[in-house]
Amino acid sequence: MRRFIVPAVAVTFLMLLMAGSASAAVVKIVVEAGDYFAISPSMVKVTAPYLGNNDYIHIPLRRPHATTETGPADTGNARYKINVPVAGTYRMWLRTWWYDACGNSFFIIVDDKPSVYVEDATYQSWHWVKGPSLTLTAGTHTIRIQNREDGARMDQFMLINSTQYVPTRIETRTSQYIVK
Amino acid sequence: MMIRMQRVPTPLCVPGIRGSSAAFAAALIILSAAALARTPAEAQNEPTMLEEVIEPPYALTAGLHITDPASVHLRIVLDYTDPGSTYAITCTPGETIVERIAGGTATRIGRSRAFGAFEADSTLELTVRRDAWRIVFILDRQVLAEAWDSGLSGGAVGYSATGAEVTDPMMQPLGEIYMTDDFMRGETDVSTWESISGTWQTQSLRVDEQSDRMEADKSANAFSFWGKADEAGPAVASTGYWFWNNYQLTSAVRAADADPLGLIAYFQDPENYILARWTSALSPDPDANLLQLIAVRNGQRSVLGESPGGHLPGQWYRFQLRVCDGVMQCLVDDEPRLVAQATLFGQGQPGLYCEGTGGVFFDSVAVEDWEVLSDDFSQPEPGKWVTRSGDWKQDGGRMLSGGTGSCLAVTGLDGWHDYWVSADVDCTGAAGIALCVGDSSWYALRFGTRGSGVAYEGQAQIVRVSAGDMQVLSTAPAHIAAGSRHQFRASANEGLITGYLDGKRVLDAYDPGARTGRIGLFADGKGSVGFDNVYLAMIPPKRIARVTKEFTEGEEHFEMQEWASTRAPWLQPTEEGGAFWTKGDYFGDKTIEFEVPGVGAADGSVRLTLEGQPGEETSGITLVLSTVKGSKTLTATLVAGSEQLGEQAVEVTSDPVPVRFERKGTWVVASVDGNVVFNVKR
Repeated sequence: MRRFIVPAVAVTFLMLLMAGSASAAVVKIVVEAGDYFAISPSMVKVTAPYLGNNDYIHIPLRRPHATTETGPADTGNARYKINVPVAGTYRMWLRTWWYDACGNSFFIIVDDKPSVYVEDATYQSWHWVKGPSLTLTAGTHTIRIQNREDGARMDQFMLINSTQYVPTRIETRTSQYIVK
Repeated sequence: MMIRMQRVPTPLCVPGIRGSSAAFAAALIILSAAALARTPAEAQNEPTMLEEVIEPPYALTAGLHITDPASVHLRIVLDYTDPGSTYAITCTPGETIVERIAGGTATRIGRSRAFGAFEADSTLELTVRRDAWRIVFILDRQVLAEAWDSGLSGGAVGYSATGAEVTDPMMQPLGEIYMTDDFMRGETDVSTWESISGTWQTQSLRVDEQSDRMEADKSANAFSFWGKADEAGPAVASTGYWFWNNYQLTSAVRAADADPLGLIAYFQDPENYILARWTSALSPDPDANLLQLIAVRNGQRSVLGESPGGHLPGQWYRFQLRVCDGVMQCLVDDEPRLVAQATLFGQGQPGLYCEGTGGVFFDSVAVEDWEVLSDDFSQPEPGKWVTRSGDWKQDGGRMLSGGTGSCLAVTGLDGWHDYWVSADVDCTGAAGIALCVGDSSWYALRFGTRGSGVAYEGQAQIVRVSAGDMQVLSTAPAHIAAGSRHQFRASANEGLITGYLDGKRVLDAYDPGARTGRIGLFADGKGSVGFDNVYLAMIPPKRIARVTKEFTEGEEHFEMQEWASTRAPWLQPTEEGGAFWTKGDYFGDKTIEFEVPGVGAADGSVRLTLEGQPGEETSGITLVLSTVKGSKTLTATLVAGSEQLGEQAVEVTSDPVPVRFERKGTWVVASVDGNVVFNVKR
């Protein structure tokens, strides 16, 4: 028995050292608003040179704007396909601009899962909003950003398998994860 | 994009090993020992560089695992181009140092203190913050070093350590802080607030007469956030992110009973945060009727400052807590009520706080960047002030000028705009404050102290210096006796420079170029000048007086038409073509912005009057803009009563054409299509 102890200890030590030297990788998937493979009204794409990749998607204001809270007028949406390289739990973030308290949300539908929504109360300013935490397998997934209120805009969305990282600026598009 | 999290290099090479297990183990031990022996030496000299390079502002965050407390030697490099060009932070148990290394020469910058003894096998949170000007080193929630320098930029970030291991480094980009919440949502909707303790609820109807009738659509603001403590302790709710710093937190607050309420900055956990605590004037408790700034560390409270005056139950107040570079301010209804200084935590989330079971309402919360500079020169902070001319030294709690002739020391950022600066000045020579300092041009408020030998003795002046040429923009008499101490104050606000002496406005000048730049201390003539208590604050943007866009449905709510429609603030003209006059009185500086559409489409004119009397068409100062069909030229005329002050023809390119008409101090300024067309002292 003793003759196996030293190698076993040594191998364990070796594995620990190797594990220590390995790099833990964070995967960040950044998708521009215009990277959709399909878009349907009333969602539209708008060109804006000051934004990431020059465009955003938008549910245009209706007149009168959001006079009731009876729900969206249509299911206008933009659909995206992404290739997730590593299975795991990803935090979704959206870079948004809200018109007001009645134009400050989007539905998010991942694959065939039930819809969730994102919103906050910072208006008339581009900013990142924390979205849902998603458990994703490696491979291709479909993400649908859908009308919930008129006046809402989105410039980018991001998926990241880090709970620490918080986007604060326009992020660099990761074309390698975007399926067109 | 992949972000690779690197660790301190472990130069371990494992060849295929044959032979006995003993030999294998021995070889492994030797290899490991060699690796362990080599790593520290390499680490000290060759930092491990992070692969990800991001532009400032950013925060490097990591864990620091202590393996050998006595020999801890941590070195972090920023803006690293090569070993001879970098910022370096060095931390040992006995010392923390920040250096700027340029051209191979190291210069110590900023202020710092030692961490003290490390504890074996502990893991400490480490953050290095870098923006365009600051470097802040935070270890175990203590600000160990702060430095101000923008001499180097770009380059990489790296680290090395002995006696400790840097774990899980991550680069967190920083950006503008701007977050608002009007709580206008359903009680179960998603929220950016985390309830830390107590009970927190979004209230969709306020407790008032309107809500009793359940007419939420007629309430000006039916939503708020309600907190209530319990027996376990105060109620705390947090928002934002761990890396937020230098911000102001604003909230409308209203306590239902005589319970304490508060705002939180730099929240770390329920045991660690900065608290602005406000007790009620009607509370029976011994600490009633107080506004306090409190540091909560490891659950222990220490009062940093307090001032009398409590809140009244049922009354709404606008409550603010500001933090920046160790300066904390507390304001009630925009009035500064309390100031304290302490370097605590260095970053953290904002939050809301209340005690008691009566409940407190919070509303209209906003978190925004807040910048302040407060320098009493009580400790050396090399690098913060940069000598442009003359000799300057920090001595005896003052910044002293030396030599004769013009002396200028500057600090801050080129991008600073709209601010005021004050300083206590011991005047022997002539002295002043420099504003909007750029590479080759700057402005100054200066006072000609008696006996200083300068040409402007007995006068206050605002001057512009551009490429070595000095031009006097404004002059006023001001008596400064040699050896006297005064408070100077100067502001630069959208081109208007205003000078104050001992709290009294002395003079102003308008120059369209006075927009952005650093600040400086200025001395001139014979004799040294001592500066103390330099303070800079940003001037908040003007508030727009506008009609709330809600409740304008006249047909449905005719009873609101008189006061709520967009025409309500205006006195209607009695005849066609007559003037609309505002109902309100507007005092002090004011700006009217409007647009002229379709210039050239038809003949016509528009008249805009500042400081007039309703019904008196020739009162005040009037800007007349005339257009002729087919022409892109706007004719702008400035008139005061029967006197024409000027006329300008302006070629316009925009459609509609933006126009600004402003009262700025003693100046009237008109801008058309982005160009200043009139700039008149009146």
